Order: sequence, then C-alpha cells, then structure tokens
Amino acid sequence: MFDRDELLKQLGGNQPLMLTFIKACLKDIAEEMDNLEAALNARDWELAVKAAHTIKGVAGNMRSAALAKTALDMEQAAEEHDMELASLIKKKLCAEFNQLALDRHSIWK
Amino acid sequence: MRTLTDSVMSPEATILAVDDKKSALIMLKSQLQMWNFDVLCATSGMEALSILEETAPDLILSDQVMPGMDGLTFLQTVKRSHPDIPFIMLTAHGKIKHAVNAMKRGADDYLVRPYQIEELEAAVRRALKFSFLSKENRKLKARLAGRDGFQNIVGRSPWILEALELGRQVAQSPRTVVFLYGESGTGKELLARAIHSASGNGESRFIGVNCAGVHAHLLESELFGYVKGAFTGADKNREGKFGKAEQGTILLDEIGDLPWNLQGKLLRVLQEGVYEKLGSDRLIKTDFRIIAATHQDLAQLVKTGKFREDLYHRIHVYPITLPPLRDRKNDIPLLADHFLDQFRQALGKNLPGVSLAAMDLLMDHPWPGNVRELKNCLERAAILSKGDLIQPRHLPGLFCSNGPTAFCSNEKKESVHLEMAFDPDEYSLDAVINRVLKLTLEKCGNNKAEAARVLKVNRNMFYRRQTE
Repeated sequence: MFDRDELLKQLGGNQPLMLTFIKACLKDIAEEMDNLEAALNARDWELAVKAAHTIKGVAGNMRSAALAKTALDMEQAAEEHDMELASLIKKKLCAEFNQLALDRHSIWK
Repeated sequence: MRTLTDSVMSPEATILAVDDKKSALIMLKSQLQMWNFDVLCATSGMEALSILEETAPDLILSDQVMPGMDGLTFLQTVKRSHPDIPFIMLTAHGKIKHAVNAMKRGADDYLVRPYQIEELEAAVRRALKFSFLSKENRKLKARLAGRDGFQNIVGRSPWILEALELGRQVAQSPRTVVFLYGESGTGKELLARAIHSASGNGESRFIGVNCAGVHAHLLESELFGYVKGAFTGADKNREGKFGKAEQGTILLDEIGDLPWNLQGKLLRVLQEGVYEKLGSDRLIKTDFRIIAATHQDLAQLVKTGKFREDLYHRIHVYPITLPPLRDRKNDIPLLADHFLDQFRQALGKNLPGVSLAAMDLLMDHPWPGNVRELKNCLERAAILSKGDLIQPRHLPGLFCSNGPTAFCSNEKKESVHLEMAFDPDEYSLDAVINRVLKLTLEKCGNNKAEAARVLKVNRNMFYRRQTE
C-alpha cells in the first residue's frame, strides 16, 4: 500500500525515523477519517473537502499513491456534493486505510 | 561577513516550518536538518506568528490548508510584518490554482505534495539565495545612492509619491526657485538634497542655511559674504553662502524667520539675479538654485505683516508639500525597514526587524516629530536590542507595554496618556489615585521624589497611600 523504498529515500535512509513518521501519518489520517465521516453525515461539504484534501496530502507524503488517489476522488465527489459517490468512495478509503495500517509492519523487511 | 555560500549552506540559516499535521512536520524537519538547517516548527498560523514575534527565520515553509488561520492569510500577515523573509507555500496535488493564488499574494515559491526531496532542497536553497542576493542588492543600491538621492526618501503613500514626482520634475529646471513646506522632521532637507543631486549639480555644492539658527545681525554677512574693512572685525575677505553655492543649490531653511531687512535684500537677489558682498559695490551675478523651506504658514505671516508679500510670490514659484508622518502611517513599516538597514550597517548588529507588537505601537503613535522622531526612536531601539526583533520594551520613553495599564508620554512631554482597567467592584476614586501613583512610580524607576515632582504632589503621598 505504500512505496517503502521511496519513503526511506525521502527520509534520508533513516529507518527508525520512518517508523515514527508512519505512526504519525496513520494517526493524522485516522483523525481526518473521523472528520470526513462527521462532515458527510452532516452534509458539510466544505469540511468534507478539507478532510479529504488532508488525507490526500498525508497519504502522498507517506508515498501511498493508492490512498492519495482515492482521497483525491473523495475530494472531487465532495466538491460536487455527490453523496452517493462519496459514500462509495468512503468505503474504499476505509478499506485502503486499514490495509495501510497492516502494511506498516512491512517496513522491517 | 556572511557570504552567499554561508547563507544557503550554513547551520545558522533558520527555517520555520508550519503545518497542522504532525506527520508533515516530522518529515519536513528531518529533511531540513539533513542539510544542517535549524528548524522551528509550528502547528498553526497563530503559533507561527508568535514565534515570529521572538525570532526572524531566514525562510518560511507553510502548508496552505490549515484549520483556523489558513496558509494564505498567514502568508499575507507575514508579508506585512516581515516582507524580506522568503516564503514557500506547500500545496497538495491537484490544487495548482491554490499555488497560483499564493504566488499572487507574495509567496516566493511553491511545492506540490508529494514532492521529491531534491525538489525541496532546490527550492529552499533557491529561496535563501534569492533572499541573500536581494538584501545585498539593496545594500549596494543604498551605498551607490549615497545620501542625496530620491531613493533615500522612503514611502509609497500618494502624498509622498506626489512630492517626489514634483521634485524629480523640477530637478530638470536647475534655476527654478523651489518652495518646500512641511512640518519639522518630514524630510525637507532630504528632498532639497535630492533635487540638487538630480539637477546634475552633483559636482557642485549644496549649501544649507537655517535662517532661524543664525543671529539676525550675522545672517546678512553669512549669506552675502563681506570684503575686508566692511565692518569692525572684518579683517579679510570672506565668501558668503551665496558665493559658496555657485553653480549649486542653496537651501534657505526656516525662511519664515528671515529678518525683515534681509527679506528685501533676498527679493533683489531673486528679482535681479545679482547681489553684493557687504562693503563692496561689485555686483555678483547669481548662479545657483534657491530652495526655500518652512514649517510655518507663510501666507499667514504675510497677512500678519511678518513676511513681505512680494518676496512670498517670488519664492512661491514651485511649492512642494511634504506630508506629516501621521498622514502616511502606512509608510511606517517601509521606513522602519529602511532605518534598520542603516543601523544594521552602522552598528554591525543583526537586526531582523520589528515585532508585530512593536509595530502596532509605532503605527499608533502620532509622531509629532515626524520621520526624524521615528528614526531616533528606532536608533535607540536598535542600540538596546541584542540583535533580536525590536520589541515594545526596546521603545522606552516613548511607549511601554504594561497591557491595559500603560503609562505613555511622548518625548516632547506634550501629553500624558493613561489607560487603566478596573474590576467594577474594585473601581473607586481611591483606586484610581492609587493606580496613578503606582504607574508614575514605576515610570520613575521607583524614585518617589521624581514621581512626586512629575505629579506635582508632596512625596509623602506615596507613603500615605497604597501603591504596591
């Protein structure tokens, strides 16, 4: 779910730092997933766009291209106030985030 | 001296990273530290502004989308208080229009996330290099401009720009009499020098005479000069100011104070273009520009019979009015930068700028002494500063920063301003008196005799009342 080698390169080859960084990313994304869910429930499209935008940014930093792409789709759906599409994408986003959380152990390989 | 290489490579370069996401700050900080930069981190625009109150980094990197104060608002605030600090906006993929918007509002560069580490390094070094070169360029220009150029008159307000434009235009007409009106400290002599310099008279002399500063009976010989034997004590020929200004410019400052008898003689100089030295019959043709200046209402002096009307019309050929600083307060940040640049060189100190709190005080002050007063105030602050941002505490005598209970009096002691806040239950005449005594005592360094003198009361009052 993320490009380990590329991320390691961005962090100067510092593996312990990469672990700290990934933990912080997962925490940041989890917070924004909560914000996104609350925003969609309240039909607060502006907040939904911001939450999706932030997830996209953090996922990009983490070199998780798939999650960043899904977050971009979510951002666009929220911009267009498309609830049906947003609900579908949210499920995908959750699944990818859960997978990412599992994959974090792969950094030790 | 710090070189370009030092500036972009040295660990002394400090970078402020602003992002509400902890993960983003971890990444940025670790990357910047790889290149030996000192990194300050803030998780919001407000936190970053409070850091900027205490220190001036060499570069700011900020996220664009943040809760509370967003990146664009933060950028605009920073550019108002610290226009020289380069600013790189970090923006997310797919939001290029945000980046364009940031550039329009003064960002020096932008990076699209996820960026490559090489892109970050290149952008950071480019911004630091550009900032360093801009500062050097300004210093060189200032050095080249010397003391006499229009460049030394700093401001963007319409009034000052109009005055400068009028000055530039009249500079092309080297014998036109110019009349400068402006309060004390507004820069009349500076403008006169600029006109002289731009008139192509750079090689010739600029002679300034303060008509109010020379005793009336000496002023005539000072201006016209004299020949040996003209009066008792005239044991040799002496060139006057008019003679010394040959082919150049003479500034007659405070022309409103010119004695009546000399007003007639000056009128002749202006009408006929000739004058005589004291004790001589030889006519000397004038070959200089006259610039007259005053802070007084000359038309009013004419009405009251203190100034000749014919002379008034002779010198009122090309009037230029310099605005008081209180009418162009938006120029204060620019002027502050300009003076701090000067003091940086003169004092050899790192003076990064003026804090927002100190700038608020500067903006609020009425500046009765105009730009000269501002310059003196900043010079004192520059001396007191230990190389950090100018803070309210560096502006003693003029301001103090005790919050709602500030006691402020300006340098000329024209007014005393007190601000006090009380809990409604605590508020009483006694409480007000005690507070006034306390504030005055503090202001006087706990010297009861001095505080009593200021308040014109017996010093026993300080012992009788509760001032702690």
